[in-house]
Amino acid sequence: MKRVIISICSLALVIGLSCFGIVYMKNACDELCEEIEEIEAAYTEGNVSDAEARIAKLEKEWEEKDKIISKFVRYDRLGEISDTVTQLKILVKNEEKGDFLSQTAKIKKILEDSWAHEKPDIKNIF
Amino acid sequence: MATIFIRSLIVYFLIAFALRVMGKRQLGEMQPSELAVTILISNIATLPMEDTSIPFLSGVIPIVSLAAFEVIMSYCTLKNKTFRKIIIGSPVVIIKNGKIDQEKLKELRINADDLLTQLRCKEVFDISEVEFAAIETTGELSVYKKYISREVTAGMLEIPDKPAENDPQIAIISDGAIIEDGLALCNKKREWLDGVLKKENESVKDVLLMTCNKSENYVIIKNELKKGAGR
Repeated sequence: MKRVIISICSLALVIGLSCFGIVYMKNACDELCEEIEEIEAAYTEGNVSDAEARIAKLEKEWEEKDKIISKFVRYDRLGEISDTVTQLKILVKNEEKGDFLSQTAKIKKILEDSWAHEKPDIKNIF
Repeated sequence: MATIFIRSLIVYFLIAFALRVMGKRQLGEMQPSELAVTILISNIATLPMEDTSIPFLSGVIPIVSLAAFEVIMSYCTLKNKTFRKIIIGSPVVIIKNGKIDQEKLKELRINADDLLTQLRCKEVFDISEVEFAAIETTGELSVYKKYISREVTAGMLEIPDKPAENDPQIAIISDGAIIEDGLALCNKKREWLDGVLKKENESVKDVLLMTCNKSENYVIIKNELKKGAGR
């Protein structure tokens, strides 16, 4: 009976960890996508200093979230986000609007793909 | 490199723990589901050890899940007969009243040579000696010989039982150290052991193994590397 209890507890822990992983990933992707949209809006409105401040905030937030996400998600492109966020700062300074928007779109795409890669739907299971 | 080393250590302890939780059955004859789980665990364990780009949890979660699931399934098969039949199956009788059931042999895809090999492993060299044989769920053959072919037992010869003399031998000294639990199982005290060793002109540290039963029948195997003595 002791082994059964240990097994049930282990399974509960695994299910709990899995649920935490899914919820954390979903929230992180939503929050970061929202943040990027705000950066895009600030930049297109010509508010460069606000955009820069938001990029710095985004970079910090991503660093924190990446520490947890990398524990349970294996998605090779996640590493690209850090590089692209660093590039955003330079693109804002140089006022390269086209490149800037393409890079923000790229980050959003990676985040959406990583969530799509992680969610336990029929496509991913099979 | 250090990451791989640390991961290997963690995986080692995790698998040792998983096998411990799954129980001793896992180390002996395995049921089909147990075999599948053991193979899966050994394969999964290598992935996070070799590839550091894989999150460690991706390797840990399947190992823990499979071990836990196996224990829960074992518990369910213990409690529910139908479930047991589905998961483990049931033994198949292939020789009944000395006659081979060829249909069953065909169903199990066992040929005559395989059957003879398994019978020989059970020390049966003449198929006519077999009264009944079944393939167990583990794939092992169980054989019940005809009365005339069975080994003679004390019961057949109506020899009275001597329970005291039949007590199993229990180790009471191993590698020069006294096993207190063994002494207690034999209902013996330290004084008795000291007396025996004195009579045999031995000391505890010079004994490789000493076994004894409740009837004070004992065997002493001296440590030949220390004294060069025999039994």
